[in-house]
This record gives sequence, C-alpha cells and structure tokens, in this order.
Amino acid sequence: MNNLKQQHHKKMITNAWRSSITGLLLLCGFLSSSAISQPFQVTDSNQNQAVALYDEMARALRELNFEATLVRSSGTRLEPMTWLHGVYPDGTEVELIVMLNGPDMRILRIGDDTSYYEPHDEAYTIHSDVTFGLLPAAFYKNFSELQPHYQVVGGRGVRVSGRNTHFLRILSRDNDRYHYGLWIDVESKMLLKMQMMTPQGDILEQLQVTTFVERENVPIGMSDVRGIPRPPRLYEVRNLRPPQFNLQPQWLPAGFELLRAGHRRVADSGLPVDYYLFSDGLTEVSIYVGSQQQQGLPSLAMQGRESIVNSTQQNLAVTAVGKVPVTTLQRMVDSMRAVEPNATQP
Amino acid sequence: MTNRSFEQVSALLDDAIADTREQAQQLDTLLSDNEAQQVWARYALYGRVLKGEAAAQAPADISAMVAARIRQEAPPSQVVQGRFGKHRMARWLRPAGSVAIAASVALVAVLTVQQSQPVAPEQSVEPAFATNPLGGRSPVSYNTVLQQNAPSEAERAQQLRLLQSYMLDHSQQLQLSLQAQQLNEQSEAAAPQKDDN
Repeated sequence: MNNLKQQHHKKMITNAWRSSITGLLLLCGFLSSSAISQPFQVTDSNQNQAVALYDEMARALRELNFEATLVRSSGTRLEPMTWLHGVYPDGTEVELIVMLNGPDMRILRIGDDTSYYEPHDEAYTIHSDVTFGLLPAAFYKNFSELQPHYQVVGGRGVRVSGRNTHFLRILSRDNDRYHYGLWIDVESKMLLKMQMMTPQGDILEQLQVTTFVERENVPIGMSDVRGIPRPPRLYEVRNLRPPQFNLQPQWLPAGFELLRAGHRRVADSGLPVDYYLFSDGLTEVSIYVGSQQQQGLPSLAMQGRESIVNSTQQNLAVTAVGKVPVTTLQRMVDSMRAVEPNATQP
Repeated sequence: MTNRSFEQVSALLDDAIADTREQAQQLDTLLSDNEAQQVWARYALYGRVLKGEAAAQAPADISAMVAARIRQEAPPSQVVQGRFGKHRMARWLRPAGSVAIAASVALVAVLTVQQSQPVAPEQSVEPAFATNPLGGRSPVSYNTVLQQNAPSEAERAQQLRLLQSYMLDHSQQLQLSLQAQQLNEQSEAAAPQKDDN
C-alpha cells in the first residue's frame, strides 16, 4: 500500500516535470515564431505566411497585366523569351509567350484555349486555362492542392531583376521528388525567378525574369490578339483500349494517383504500349510497358529536367519518364508486377 | 562614322567640349547626320542606364515587335486546316517550349559521357539511395550495359530517337491531361449542359 502511494507520488512528480517541459517548449516555439528574422524555421506562422504568399503568387500569375522577358536555363541550354499577360475588362485572361532563339514558337492563351504556333509544324489548340511548358500548372492554383505531400517554407529573398523579393521553398516531404525555389516580387507578388533542384540541391532548371513591367491594362502587344485565327482544337480518341500487359507499379511515391491508363501507340516511334500517367498535383510520371523485342533498348537511367528509366521487367520493356529523381523512377519500374493471373503475354 | 566622330559625339554628350565654336560645329554635324543622331541616342541611353535613370522601355519595344510580327503572320487556320488530315495526325504535336530538343541535347551528352567514362553514376544520385534503399541491387545499371555491347553509331541514333519519342509522348499526354482536367471541371460546373464545341 505504502509502496503504491510512493509510486503514485513519483508519477505525479514526473507529470509535473513533463508539463513544465511542454510549457517551456511551447514558450520557445512562440518566441522563435515571433522572431521573423530567422529564415527556414518551419513554424506554424511561417508556414501560414508562406502558404499565403504562394497563393498570392498564383493569383498574380492570373490577374496581373505585365510585360516581361525571361531566360530559361537547363544544363548548358539558354532560352530567352518574352512573356506578356493581361486581363481584358470582361475578365478574359490573355497570355502570350514568344521564344526568341531558334524556331519562332509562340504560345497564345485566351481564356480557356491555349494555341501553340510553330513555323514548320502543325499548330494546334488545347482547351486549357494553363499555358503548358513554362511553369508547372500547380503554380496557378492555391497551395492547398499540394498540401499533404509538399510543404512551403518562407525565407528572406534577395534582389532579383532589380526588385526586392520574398523567397519560398517548395519541399517534398520525402526525397522522391524535385524541390523548387521561388523568388516573388514583394510589391506585385509576381514570380521573378524559379529554380528546380534535386533533393540534394543540384539545380536542374532555372527561370529568370530579366525585365518586368506592370501595366494598367492589357499590354499593347496583345490588344488585338483576339482577332488572330486559332489553329484547330485537338481532340482525343475517346475509345481508349484497356491495358493489355497488365503490368502495374506496386510502389508509387506518396500522393501519386493514376490519371490515365490505356493501350496506345507512342508518339513518333509508334510502338504499341500500355500507358499509365501518374500525378501528385505538381509533377507527373508516365510509364510505358511494351514488347522487349520490338523496343530493344538497353537498361538505362538518366537524371535531368526530365528523367528517364528503361528496364526489363518480366520480359517486357518498361520505360518511365518524369520530372522526378531517377531513383524514384527506378523504384517505380522495379515494383512493376502482373496485376492479373491471366495476363496476356505477346 | 569614324571613331573620332564617335568620340566627338560622346564628348558633346558629356558637355566636355570647351571651345564653343567646335561645339556649335559638332551640333551642326549631329543635326545633319542621321547616323550621328543614332549614336547620340545610344550614348544618351547608356548614360541614363549607368545613372539608373532609364525607365524600363525595352519590353514596350518588344511587345510592339511581337504585335507587328503576329500581324504579318499568315492566318494559321488556313495553313493548318488542310494539312491536319489523318496522315498528319501522328506528328501533330511538337512540345511547345521545345522539350524534345532539350531532351535530345541532354541525352546525347549523357550517352557520350557514358561511352567514354565507365563507372561512377551521377553523384547526385547516390545520397538518395541511402535514404531510399532499392532492395540491394544496383539501381542504375546503364553504365555496365552500354559498356558491354557498345552500340554502333546507327544503333545509338536509333536509341536516341526512341528515347526522345518517349519524352515527346510524355509531354503530349501531359497537355491532353490538362485538357481532360479542364473539361472535367467544366462538366462538373455545368453538369446538365452539353458541350457545344
């Protein structure tokens, strides 16, 4: 009995001790979160500020009238372009991107239709309110869409394009994805610089806005673009055939979901494949499964702006492409298993 | 214009010509000579840029150029409609933003490096292995494979084309997926209405 009492007493003491530690920790947390001068401290208030800033950037990309020039670099390649954006009084968004080096390629987006013009090839229109190719589509949406698998952290921005910036870092919660650094104009909330990097910090792609001018109205260069004839809209073949090889990845990075699946032919090469597209909201991975004899590629893995892995699984050629580390692709490919016992082999 | 006259324009701009008669003469030249006026304008701009006074006018000029060039462009619908037949469908989509070309450049670089330098996979790849073990087997086996049966020029070109076609296809599918998402959102927004496109 006495013994029991003693134990109880001991427990109470440890409890008191514990709660005072918790209190101390809370106090520390409060103090550090109020000290804004410390960058990269993942506290709640920092997190909220960073999310708010990200959302403001997404809105700025949709709502600002601006004229900008920028350079995209990856590896040794530099691509300068002009980037005009505006909103007509009726609320229709208009965006024009012109490549300044090499073939004269332009992208013109008016409202929900984006047209891709090219000098020697067929121009086409896609029904989409995001211009593909410059920024990830997720940058035009609120951060909540990426919330569970990415976090955004604020930091102190440096001067970019002659303007003061805030700095945001978009980190995946695991090391299965690439990270982004964003420099956002303090005044307009416009994205002025972007870096895409490996979890180890190697930079794979950069965008740098070199001139940026905000306008009252739609930039003059686009005042009459609504009169420009649009190339034909691209329609998809709706009667997709189901996958035939029934080989599917058993491992996906957290948050990746299947967007499309079917049996079709690869563009250009025309190889018949089972095709799967996975996305986590920010980045996408394509997986192709086809006959090994027909394809004949050696096992290989390359990391870059777009990584690619090719390997043989169960006598089938499996190829994965996507803006993720090559290790992630390899792991997905290695996890390919037959999903049905009566899977048809070629 | 000679270097000498460039100097004179520069001097004039900086108000560095002491002799008033020479200054008057210089001004005369400037007013009569087209080229000299351009030089003057350029020097003046340099000066303003150096002093941080120049307004960012460059984009305005570019936008005007862009507008002019768009106006010059033949109406794409006429060019395209006729050629957009069945046979052409296979080639319909070059990734805007030249993903394919960029990809090819990267691939060539990587493949040639692999040919000449054995072993040592990309350093950046290694740390991730530690955190994501891949069941003990070497995950990046391209070095060995390409070393063993070194492919001929033609085979390599064929392999590159194949790899590039996957990259191209990937970006096409991403665009189509964007379109599908857009259509989904719209059909959700206005469920009973039929798409009038």
